[in-house]
Amino acid sequence: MEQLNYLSLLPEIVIILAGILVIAADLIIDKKDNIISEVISVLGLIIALFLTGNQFLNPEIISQNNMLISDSYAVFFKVALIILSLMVILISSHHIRERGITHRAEYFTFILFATVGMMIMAGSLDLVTVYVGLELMAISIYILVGISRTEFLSNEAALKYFLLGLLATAFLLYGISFTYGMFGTTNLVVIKNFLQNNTTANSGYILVLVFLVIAFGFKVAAVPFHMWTPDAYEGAMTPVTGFMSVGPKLAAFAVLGRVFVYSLLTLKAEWTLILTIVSILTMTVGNVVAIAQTNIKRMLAYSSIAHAGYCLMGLVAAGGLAGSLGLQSVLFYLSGYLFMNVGAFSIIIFLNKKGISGSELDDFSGLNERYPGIALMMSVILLSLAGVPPTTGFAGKLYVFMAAVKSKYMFLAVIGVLNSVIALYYYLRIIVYMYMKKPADLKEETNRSVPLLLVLGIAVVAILVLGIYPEPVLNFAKSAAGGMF
Amino acid sequence: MMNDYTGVLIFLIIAIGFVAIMFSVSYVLRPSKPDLKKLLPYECGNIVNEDARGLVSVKYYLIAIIFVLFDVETAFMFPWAVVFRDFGMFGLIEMAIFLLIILIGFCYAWKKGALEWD
Repeated sequence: MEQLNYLSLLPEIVIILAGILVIAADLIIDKKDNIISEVISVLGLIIALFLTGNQFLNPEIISQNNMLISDSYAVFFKVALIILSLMVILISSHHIRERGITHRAEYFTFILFATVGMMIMAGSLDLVTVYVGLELMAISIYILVGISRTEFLSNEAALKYFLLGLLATAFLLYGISFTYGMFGTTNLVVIKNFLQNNTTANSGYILVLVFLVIAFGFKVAAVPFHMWTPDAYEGAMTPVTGFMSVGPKLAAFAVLGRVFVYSLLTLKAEWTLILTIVSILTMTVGNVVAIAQTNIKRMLAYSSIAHAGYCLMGLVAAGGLAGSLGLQSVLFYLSGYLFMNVGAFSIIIFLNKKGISGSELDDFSGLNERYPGIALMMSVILLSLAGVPPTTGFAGKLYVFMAAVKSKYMFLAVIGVLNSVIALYYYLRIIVYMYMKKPADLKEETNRSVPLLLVLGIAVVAILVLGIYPEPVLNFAKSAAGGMF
Repeated sequence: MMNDYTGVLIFLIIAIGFVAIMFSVSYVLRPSKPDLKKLLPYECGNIVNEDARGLVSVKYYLIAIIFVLFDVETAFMFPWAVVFRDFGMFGLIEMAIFLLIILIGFCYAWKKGALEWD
């Protein structure tokens, strides 16, 4: 038996340890209003971030029995996921006290466990490991969605997400079993080699592709597997919504990239066709339905569906002539999307009033008169989501469209641009509400915690920096994507 | 191209067709005179006395979940015990870590009152 290499697993081990410590500390410390959970979580994540950074600086590609790998592709996603987790913990700290969540330790533990699950997905070299990581992520997030146990909406959201998530898991397992039937293995490296040596077409391959697209389409909320998204996003507590709108998407795109682009590249004629259709549907439905929303969380849910569509376009391009440029554009897009979404949800948390969620469109009326700084930050975030320069949303879209054009998917890029125009309407509507409407009521907002404002500031700065000077992240994404070809 | 799977498709069509024909033939042939007694749900010949969707206390669920947790734990230990000699020290430490994590979870459930009925 080959021994495991614990050194390359250290980030995951540290986060798991931190999660267990949070639970243990909650047992020992009885004081009502302690912040020990937050402290342990943040410390654990920072240590893990340093360890992952160390993997980046000393890139030894180590695989664990061909099940898990820590190449630069995995490290890229791991860094993004740890940053996401850190930001979410900082923005939830104050909010969960206001919402009266009694099981605080559980909340932080499940965020940490979900992060580890996503990190495992990002580094998986075997479909079985993908499955294990996916379940660790999914089960933790089901619980997080339903953590406000006394609220009806939260229960509804958790149940819907759980049942539909179960269905997606079933599809994934069915797909994995077909993979095993077709290739005699679930290992992605072996599958890649098998396909390179056996070029005869087999109609069963399409079955595998379809099942995997359904399973991961559900996780990235691609149309037509998006039905759960608005309800789950609306019902979940806002920091959880921020977490689940970014984390599973990052992890699922990591897996999609590794499975389709790395392992099944020889079948690209088939999967690019499937993903092209899904991408067009996802962009269009997401953007068009978002216009009709008056609840900001639902609107952001549909907007996140649309963003998944743009990313899928990059993935399609990765299967075409653009090659690694396509995958690179997806990675860059996702890194910007991380800051945009966490920023947007932080602002909803900021506007959270006692008893009211603060996520209706009217809550933004005249925000400029009440909090000019917050209104300005929201404008930057919204313009970035819409894809206006000089923000990361613009840069990301630029690279994705560029990759699509390079792969001769001109029509896909045109549809993408048209969709960006539609998107501009509903993002700008919020800005109009903030600057041109009179404030509806002047009830004082309660959430002005320092960590929240810190995260908000970091998100806005990151959006601008990634938009103006994208080179470092772009190079990182390039080296990560390059390893997949 | 689909030759390998044509058999499955034919089987599917036959299966659906068989059921459809059986149902439609019996629907056409049988006399249909429903009355109240006939439409009652059948419960071993007894007269139905209660709604089927009765409420069960959620506490049973909690106890059941904790039971399943420890059941799964034993299910994990069994194959480990079979190949224990091959794993040696490595396996022993791994299992100790696993048990420790379960133990902390158990302590948590206990402290939070999951094992108490009221």
